Amino acid sequence: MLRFSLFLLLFLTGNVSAGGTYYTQQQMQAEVFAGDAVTSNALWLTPERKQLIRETTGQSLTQARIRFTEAAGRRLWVLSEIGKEKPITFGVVTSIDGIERIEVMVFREARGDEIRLPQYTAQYQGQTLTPEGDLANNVDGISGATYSVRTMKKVAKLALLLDQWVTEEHASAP
Amino acid sequence: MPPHHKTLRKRPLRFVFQRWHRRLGAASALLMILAAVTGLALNHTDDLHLGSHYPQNSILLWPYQAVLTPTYRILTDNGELSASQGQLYLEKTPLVECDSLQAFAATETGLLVSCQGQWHLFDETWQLLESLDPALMNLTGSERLGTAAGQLLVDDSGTWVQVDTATFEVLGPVPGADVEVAARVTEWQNTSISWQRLMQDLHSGRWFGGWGIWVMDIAAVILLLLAVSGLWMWWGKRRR
Repeated sequence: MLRFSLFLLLFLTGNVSAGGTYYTQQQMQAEVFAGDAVTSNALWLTPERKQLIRETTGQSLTQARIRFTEAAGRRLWVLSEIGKEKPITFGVVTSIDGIERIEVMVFREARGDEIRLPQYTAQYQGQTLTPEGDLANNVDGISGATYSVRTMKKVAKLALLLDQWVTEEHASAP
Repeated sequence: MPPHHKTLRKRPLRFVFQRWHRRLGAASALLMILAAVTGLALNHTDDLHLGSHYPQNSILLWPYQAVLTPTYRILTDNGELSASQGQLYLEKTPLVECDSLQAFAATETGLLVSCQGQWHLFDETWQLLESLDPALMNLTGSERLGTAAGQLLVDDSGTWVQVDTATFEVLGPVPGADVEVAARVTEWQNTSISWQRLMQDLHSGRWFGGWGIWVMDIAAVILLLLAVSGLWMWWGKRRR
């Protein structure tokens, strides 16, 4: 029933033309941090961390670090991942309570950008990672946007994993 | 009717068949050879690795000019950067996925490579530090990159704008007098039309254009006629 309601809601919002830049980095930061003093940092990915990312999300990251911005205990992660053929760039806001917000910033695929609609992204609010590396709550899919949905789930898991490591680093810092 | 009259009446028809059999055979010989050779090659596509090898001859690639895309090479202090088949290479070493090498800039904070929609920042040993999305800075990713006193500059529609390499924020326009731009060499290397595709197009006649298919169709009909006339002549000879 929930799946049907979600589908109906998405259908009623009308046709969505796929593709485009919905947020720049500055726009996203301005919306998320709204005047807070923002610091820019990078989380370094050790081989162990890369291995854990591979096990949790299936992504094989080759880069040495991932950049993030933070202010007042909230972190903004800008992460890209291939959807079906092209990369989709997401902005994920994390805090101590898990995911606070997730947005599609740049979408390049031909179809499937229904995942950027608030009715869909609302399902990620408050999501945390289980010890097994899954999202704590169920996320309903969207028919016709299977790859995009899968990609968003991957990125959500990755952001939570990264946030966990930054929290650990902050806690162990002198 | 005397027997020799019957032979005389039938002989011209056989001669006509023989004459046209020879003419049609000669006329379509080249096309038959082409179809046979390409057909044989296509039958052994995997063994001959036709799908993963790409012809570079300009005559063979003549019909595909519109779909061939240029590839670029950029010389750096550490060697030559190039991109082919979706991969960025420094000399022969693969670095990272890259659709099309666009620009390179050696900045104070790292070596930046623009790959059409994706920027890759490397350290001095060419270890990938991070990948960035130029769209997040309102850039397309196909802009020229330059440096002035180690600072990263981007050619945004004819105006050089400075980008902070620590935060990757666009800072604003700067004078373009002393901008250093890494030279990019354009090459028309074929990495999209495989030998398999070429063989298929030659076999079907598409390589020759819109009318090529009809020519190969006519050749196929001629082949049928040759088969029929050949059989007829063979059968007639046997009966005699």
